[in-house]
Amino acid sequence: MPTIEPAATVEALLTEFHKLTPQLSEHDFPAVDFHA
Amino acid sequence: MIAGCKTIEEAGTKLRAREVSAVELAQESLARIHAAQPRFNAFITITADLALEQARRADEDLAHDIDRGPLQGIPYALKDVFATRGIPTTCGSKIFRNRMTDHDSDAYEKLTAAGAVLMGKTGLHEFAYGITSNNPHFGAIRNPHDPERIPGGSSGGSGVAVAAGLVFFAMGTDTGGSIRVPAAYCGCVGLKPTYGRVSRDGVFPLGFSLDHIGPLAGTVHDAALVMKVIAGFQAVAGDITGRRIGVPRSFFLERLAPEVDRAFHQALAHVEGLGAHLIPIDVPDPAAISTIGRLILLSEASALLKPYLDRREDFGPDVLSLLEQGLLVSAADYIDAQRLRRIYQQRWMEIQDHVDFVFTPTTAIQAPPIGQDKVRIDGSEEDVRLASTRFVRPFNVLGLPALSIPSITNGLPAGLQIVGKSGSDEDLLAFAGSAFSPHSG
Repeated sequence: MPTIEPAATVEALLTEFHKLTPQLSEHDFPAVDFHA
Repeated sequence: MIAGCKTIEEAGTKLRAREVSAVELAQESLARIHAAQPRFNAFITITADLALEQARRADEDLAHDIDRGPLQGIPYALKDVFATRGIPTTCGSKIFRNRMTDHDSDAYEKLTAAGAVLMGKTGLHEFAYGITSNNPHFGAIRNPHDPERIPGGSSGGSGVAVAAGLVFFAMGTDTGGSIRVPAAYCGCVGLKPTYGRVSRDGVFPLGFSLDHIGPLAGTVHDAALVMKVIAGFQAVAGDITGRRIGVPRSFFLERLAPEVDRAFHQALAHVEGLGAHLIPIDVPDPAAISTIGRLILLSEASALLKPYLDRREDFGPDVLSLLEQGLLVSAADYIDAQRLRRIYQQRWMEIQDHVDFVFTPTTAIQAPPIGQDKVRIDGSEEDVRLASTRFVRPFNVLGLPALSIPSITNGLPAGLQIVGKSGSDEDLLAFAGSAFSPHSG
């Protein structure tokens, strides 16, 4: 039976995340908005 | 239903016709809260004396023709992260069990000025950091449709208080679905407004760049009345004919519980029957957006609560685990997550040029039993937390307004999520109010 495991540990999450970062370039600035 | 009134508008009409007093509404609400508390555990603090005092003031004002608007004399509740001077604000935590603030939250100030009557502070997942509302310090909050099931979270007590008819509306917070998930699981309306639309002043944070404030209510119209008071909403026309509804081809229709799938397609057929156009769309990778959101939240929550991590034994195990994971995320990865976030925000804006709203299910499942960690969907097991949040978290990252509307299927509610354009909260509520009012066919 296949099992869909969450990225339950931070390592698994970071592995997924690092697949996304190659699309970043020096033109991409953070979208931080700490609106209160 | 309080004093025979299903909605805020009905209660307001009766108040102004002197068919019921605010004190009578408050007394009936209090009686319902006390009767329900052993069964559902929706409240952490019940503010009976304050409620009766505020209700008496509302009656006096109405007697002198001082009309403070649609929430005057209306019983409501605040999630226990909204600061209220003189009343504890626990955040559902052992660490803040006796915490008192020297200020009121902006939302509470506005609601008080509008004459609304605070019945108490509702329970939540510890520090709003989870979706079960199975709180180790204040006890599990229970679903009004089946007390053996979770109400969702983190605003679980607010969802129960509204869905069980204990109050007319309740305020919640939503960092990764914490208004919409309990709305879907308990069977009420829940609005996560556009990011920044409602002031967070005086509300204990969780994820600084992901937190949103919004109402849970019995109807879309009631939610709009609350937004009028806390965010200056203006009424707009709720046209349905010709509106373009984006229906994602992938992700949001995958791995759905059968009843959720059925309810979602019924909603699509309903709005199409009213003259809206359904448009299949390809959405920018929601799984990637969720990954970005989870990484941002891990970092921001751990930065916030790090000063208390020397009291490990005072945290529940799930929250402690998340806080420790967040400490392992590097600053560079956090910054990259915020950079990626902007890319996906721009991609999502491009698809919104072609549609007015996007429809998705709110959650992939209906409320699971308390203590159950996994659910089985389409022959596969999935973590309850992910099955509950994978459709809602992307819109915290994107900052878009998202509304959950309930439908009852097999005795348990399922939620329809309607996502609008940034800043178009009034249009979103007007459309949803017209399309899903009791009189819309």
